Amino acid sequence: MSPVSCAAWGGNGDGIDAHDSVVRKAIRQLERVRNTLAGLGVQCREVGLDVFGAGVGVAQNGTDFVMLSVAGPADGVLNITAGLLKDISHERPKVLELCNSFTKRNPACPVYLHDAPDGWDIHMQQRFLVDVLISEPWFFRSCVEDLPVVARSARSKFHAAGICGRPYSWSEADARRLLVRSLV
Amino acid sequence: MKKFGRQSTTRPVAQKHDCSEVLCLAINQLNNVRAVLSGLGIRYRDLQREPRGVGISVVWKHAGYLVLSVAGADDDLLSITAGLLKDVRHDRSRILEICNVLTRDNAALPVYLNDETGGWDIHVQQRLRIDLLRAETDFFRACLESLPVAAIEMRSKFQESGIKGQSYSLNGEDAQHLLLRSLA
Repeated sequence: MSPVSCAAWGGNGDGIDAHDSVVRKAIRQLERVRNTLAGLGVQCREVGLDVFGAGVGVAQNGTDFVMLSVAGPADGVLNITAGLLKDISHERPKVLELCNSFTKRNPACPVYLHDAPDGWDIHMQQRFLVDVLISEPWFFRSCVEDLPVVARSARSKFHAAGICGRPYSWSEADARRLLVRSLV
Repeated sequence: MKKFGRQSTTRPVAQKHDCSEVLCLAINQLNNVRAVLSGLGIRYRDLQREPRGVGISVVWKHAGYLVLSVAGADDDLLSITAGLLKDVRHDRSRILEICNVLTRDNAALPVYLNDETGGWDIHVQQRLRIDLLRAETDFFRACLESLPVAAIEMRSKFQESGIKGQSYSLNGEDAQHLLLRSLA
């Protein structure tokens, strides 16, 4: 547990050595992120480690959440990711059209298809330098609070366009899924 | 990087008699951006005002240029746009695939197809809060210096994939075209 005392899900990731040099750098940066969140009074939950990095989740309204993750190879950067839909139907042209449309209209909140072999998901992700977020906590707060709201609106538009998929829920399994996918 | 272009000068606050109220807000915000650029020693060129907003270009000698724009409807945000290709051939599905891959791999630099009736263009755009950029001027400088370099790499990926289009040239006409589209 960190000094910030985030609530935790599970352990430190199966078979992953937390002292691995790549992950260690990510953990160190995430520690700074958690301290900033604690100063803002934002509750977070440790999601654990992946071979590429580490992350914490921040819930909103009990159901929506954003994943804050740092990849070891790019440990100066924080990914702030909202899962719009998971396991979507494989209507690739329509999904790519919608993703492009959202990104074109609002590049502050880019939307993309994440098409892994175990399922196609749609994410919205912001990526900022950790140092900037720590220096400007008011901005960090607005990112963490606003992204789930923008994501909720985008999700409804994917649904309205007939894209079938399940929403991410604030559960350990979904948080880990989003962590892993936010890193690769 | 070496820069060229006209050095900024102090600008008066926009008066309501020579612009709509919405556009006046954008003009005043762009003046704030100009002041930051001057402080950083970054030169810019003025672009003609558009009905939806205003902008300037920042030219890098060996890496093309960026358009910095403020839309009247979103006057607290600065769009920093690089044109990757213009008048691309209508190979839509392949273009959307590449845009999605580039955005997924680096959501800090979202890439999208801008498919207006006057021709299809591909842009990379960062959209950031102006108050953040004013507070974090080193970060602002880093954005302006890194985006053109990333744009060169991205452009080559489209070209290697067989996407044909023209490069944005350094003439004022192309910069004005990019401003107009960055505000869409």
